[in-house]
Amino acid sequence: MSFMLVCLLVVVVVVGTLLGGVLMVVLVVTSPVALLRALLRALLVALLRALLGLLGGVMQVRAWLRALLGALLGGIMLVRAWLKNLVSEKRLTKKKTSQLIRFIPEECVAELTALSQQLKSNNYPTWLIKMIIFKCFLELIFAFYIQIKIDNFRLPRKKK
Amino acid sequence: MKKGKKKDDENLSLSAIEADILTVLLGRELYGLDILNTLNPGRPIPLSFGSLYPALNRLEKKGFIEWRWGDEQEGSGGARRKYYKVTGLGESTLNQWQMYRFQLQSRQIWEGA
Repeated sequence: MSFMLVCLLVVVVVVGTLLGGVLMVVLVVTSPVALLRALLRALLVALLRALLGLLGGVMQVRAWLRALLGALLGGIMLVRAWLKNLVSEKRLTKKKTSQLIRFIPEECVAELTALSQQLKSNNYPTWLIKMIIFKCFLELIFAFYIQIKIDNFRLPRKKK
Repeated sequence: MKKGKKKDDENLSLSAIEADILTVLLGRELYGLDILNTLNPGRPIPLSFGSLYPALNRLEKKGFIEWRWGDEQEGSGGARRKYYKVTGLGESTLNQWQMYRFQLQSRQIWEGA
């Protein structure tokens, strides 16, 4: 056992001496700055290779970047829309009907509420009122998000 | 030049729904549901919100109507109504449109007689 340990120690010393000698030769032949630069470059290349391997190649990195950019732009647009609605939302109470303002303009929310009250006063059953309001809501969504947008292409800007 | 004039003429034209809305709004201010309630009784094809708002948008863009915000409504959690009224341009265009209809009708009566 002790013989094995001695052998191992000898091997370590021999290998260490050899490596030290090589390092000394390299240090003498090349300048330390150049050596450091080469070491850094090798380290960077190794790191990049590891990163690319982790992410799955250059093409996937591009896809990742594209997705990241898309998410960033989407986020900016959402924040912009949120800020735009913040002023009008702040004024409104937290009633269920007022939450509709996120999807349709304010005046439409008021109209739907008025319609619901009108139907209630005419003694319509609750389920029918809900159905009618839902139908109107869908119509308004279609009108404001599709039809009016298409109409506006051929219409002049608002006259003052 | 001709193209621009043609586009202007198109913008001054009126569809049947637009003419109906202008007629209802003549001389008074109404909000959306009020317009529907005034228009729909007796109308062969009742108008809905889905066709009213695009028509109102077209009329507004052409400069035939204008609107103002009303007071906040209690039941709707503070949402406001828009009150629409006819502008001078809208009134004169409607008059021209009605005049043309009248002439067309009288011409047909004369030719039929």
